[in-house]
Amino acid sequence: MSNDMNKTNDVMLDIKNLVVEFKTEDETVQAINGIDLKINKGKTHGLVGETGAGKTTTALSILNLVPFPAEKPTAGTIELDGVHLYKTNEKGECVPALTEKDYQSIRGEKVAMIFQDPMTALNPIFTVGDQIAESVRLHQNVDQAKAMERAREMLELVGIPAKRADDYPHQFSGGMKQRVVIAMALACNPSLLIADEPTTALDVTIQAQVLEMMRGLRDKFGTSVLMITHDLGIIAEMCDEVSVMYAGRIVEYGNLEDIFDNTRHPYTQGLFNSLPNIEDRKAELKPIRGLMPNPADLPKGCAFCPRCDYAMEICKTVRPERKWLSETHCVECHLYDDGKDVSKL
Amino acid sequence: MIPVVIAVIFLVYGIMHMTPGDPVAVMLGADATPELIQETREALGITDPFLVQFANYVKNLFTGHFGTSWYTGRDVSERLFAAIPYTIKLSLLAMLVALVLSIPMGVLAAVKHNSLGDYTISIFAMIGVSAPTFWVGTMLMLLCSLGWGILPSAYDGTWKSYVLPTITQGFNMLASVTRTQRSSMLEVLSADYIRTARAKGVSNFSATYKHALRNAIIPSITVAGLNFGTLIGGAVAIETVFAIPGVGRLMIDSIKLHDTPTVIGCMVFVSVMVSVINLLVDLLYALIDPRIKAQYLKGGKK
Amino acid sequence: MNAANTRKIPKKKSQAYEIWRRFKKNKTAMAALIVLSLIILSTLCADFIWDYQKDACSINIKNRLQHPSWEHPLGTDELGRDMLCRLVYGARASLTVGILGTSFALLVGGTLGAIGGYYGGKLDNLIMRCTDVLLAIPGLLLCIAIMSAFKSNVFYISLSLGISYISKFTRIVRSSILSVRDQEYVEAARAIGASDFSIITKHVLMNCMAPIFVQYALAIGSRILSVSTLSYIGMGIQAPTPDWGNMLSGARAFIRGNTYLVMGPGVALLLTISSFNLIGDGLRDAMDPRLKK
Repeated sequence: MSNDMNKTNDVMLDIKNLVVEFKTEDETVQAINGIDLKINKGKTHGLVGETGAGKTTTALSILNLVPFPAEKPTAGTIELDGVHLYKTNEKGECVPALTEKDYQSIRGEKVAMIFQDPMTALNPIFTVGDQIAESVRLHQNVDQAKAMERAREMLELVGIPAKRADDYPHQFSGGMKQRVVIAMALACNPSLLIADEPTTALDVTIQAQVLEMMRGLRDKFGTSVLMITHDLGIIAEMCDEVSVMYAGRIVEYGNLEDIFDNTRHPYTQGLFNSLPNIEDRKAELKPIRGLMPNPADLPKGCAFCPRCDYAMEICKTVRPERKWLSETHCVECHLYDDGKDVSKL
Repeated sequence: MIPVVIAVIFLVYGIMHMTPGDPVAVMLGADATPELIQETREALGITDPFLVQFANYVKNLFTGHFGTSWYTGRDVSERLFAAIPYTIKLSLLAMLVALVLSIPMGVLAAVKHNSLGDYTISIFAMIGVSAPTFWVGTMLMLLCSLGWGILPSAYDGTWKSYVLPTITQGFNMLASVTRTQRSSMLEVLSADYIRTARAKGVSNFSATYKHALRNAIIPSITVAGLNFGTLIGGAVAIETVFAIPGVGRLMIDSIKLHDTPTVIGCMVFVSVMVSVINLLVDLLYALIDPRIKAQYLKGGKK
Repeated sequence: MNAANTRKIPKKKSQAYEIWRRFKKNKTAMAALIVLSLIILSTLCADFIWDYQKDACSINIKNRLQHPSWEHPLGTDELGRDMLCRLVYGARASLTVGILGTSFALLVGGTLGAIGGYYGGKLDNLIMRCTDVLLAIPGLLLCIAIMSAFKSNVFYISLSLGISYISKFTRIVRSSILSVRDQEYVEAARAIGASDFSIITKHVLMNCMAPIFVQYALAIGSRILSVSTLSYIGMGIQAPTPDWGNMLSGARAFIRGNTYLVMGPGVALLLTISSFNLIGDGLRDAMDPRLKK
């Protein structure tokens, strides 16, 4: 415990054993199955995985914005810069640790979020300037004129002429809208920025511009970033550490080197094999066969087992424990149970 | 708008032109001489070809003349203009009451989704869109006039006699706008931009009433505009139930008397009123939603 | 090996089955379906219980205005006829014109909308202007105008009910078509040389059935509402043929002290119309699960 106490100073975000349940008409399923995630101050943490792995739900849990009552965190704790956002009560249930008002002051001020689809992320009936200024006014004690001034400043910062602050969202292109969303997120200098697939909906050339801009702003403000993506290229470009998420669990975690050069989990391996290789253009693409399992109908053992080329008998029945391979690198896979080294998979 | 109105008049005029019955026989009675009948026919202009009659009719409309009533022998406008104030007052009042009540009800039902209040409002709204106006009027009359005796059952010039007809006439619109407001509010509340707003620290209240409401109100205005026709059409039955001397009543009476010019006059008035309301609705849109223009340009895309 | 995937396959039934499965879960919509089926069943069985001419139409002054009793569960009307019997035959009249009118509107409005939406351009513009004109006249008043020009029989009543609803179907079909017209699968069908007719009926219409179905159910309810109003003001189904609207109209002079006279037909109307509305709502929810939460 004392060890943890020392660490809090440089830990921005600490998620422990988070479980989020999702209620459908017929059943309750676990969208997130007990994940741990830690981001140090000023660092960028990548969260990779296929659609439906639970990445967005993880992000929304941090903001306490999971669409209640359909979705609900049921176990685990979330700590932001030493402050508990979620705690576990005596009964072992996960409960919000703050009042709604406190969450409101954290949202936008300490944690800001960029959403996947810029086309729908802005309110169509307010000017973009108003929407940025609203964020400023919510968290800083300034009048409308000052807030608008700040909004214009932010627009300039993301490369949009200040005079466009009076335009409405529909007058902007997708890439421009995403810039507006980023300006809005950074308007109050948050300490943690959650970027949920910020470039997925954009054209490739625009993607590069937006990423470049985000990287510049991150370095300028020293913001910690949780970068959610399914694009390993973005991870390589932006992140210090990586968590690979599959079916609501983090199956492999490590720093950039661990993940890219010392890939251990067959799923992570599969993600790399699905990418075209520029250096070796003759290399065959090896897509991961099959689909992500239905979260309501997860295999009993390892969730990846039905799609895994290395699946063993044990994988079908026993869920693998987390195994630390080094200080910085861990994996959840039975291949490493007996200290077997299958690094040359 | 004007071409639409003229087309509407054309359509109504055309349909009514097919109405059987000889107006001259109605006007002059059985013992008229053939010469007199022929004279009257020419004086009424009903010997002219249909298109000439129509052109004359439209021409006269612009000077405020709605033709000669086959029943009174005088200009239709006389009785029509006497009836119009009742119908306008009643319809606008009904619409106002419907809008003022339905929007908060729809919002409440959406915000308290799946609560007892939501169910109550939804059932109430379902009854409202399903019950015939004249039956609702009759039931209200049974309850409030014949039962409790607190409100008059027929029009007597006092404000009290407006209460039941207003509620009755507005009931259907109240219900349909409530339903629309509820579902559009539900949809908007789960929209991405509401999530964005909440993610930047906007309170629940402000997210609901500042960010969502203005977006969610747009479909309600559309429905209110579209339903205004139904509302004013309901006047026909309601003015009969409550004995109000409005346009709807005049129209029904005139149909029974085969007084075609008066019927046409009533229809023209109602159609113009509906067109005016729809024009106002369009203007209202532009006030609320900056995208409307862009949407019109895009056409049916998306 | 592929356990998770193979297990899913039997779940994937046809689209219609999926819709029905979701529809079944909607309790109110199912209740409405049952109520409606009972109403339809009762009109089908009516001839086994009553004699139409004798019980529903002929006057029996001796029995007039009897309050509900064992013999006459809903009482008798102002001319001494059994209310329950007239109510059941009234359903027959209302449903017949409601369904005929809606089908007519769907046929004409749907065709116009499909043509306008698919071909676009001047033709589309012309069709849309025509629907604007039709929409500017309140439906009920249009019905009244048509009815005052023609005889009151089932054909003309259905026709007038249909005409006043054409524009709604035109708009719905047109906008659905517009939303799928430029989709890739339509382009693909065009690319392999399918005819316009087969593209419209096979590819385009099939993919916008959902809103049309929903509108069809809602429209029947609305047409029944209109015909009851028409009959109430004496321009729809004429006495002695029983219809809920003209039953209410006939009862008007006698409601003081005989409330049961307006309860029967009123509740019947409310039940029937709300059933159609609930079924329409249920269908919409079942076809578009996104909207349901």
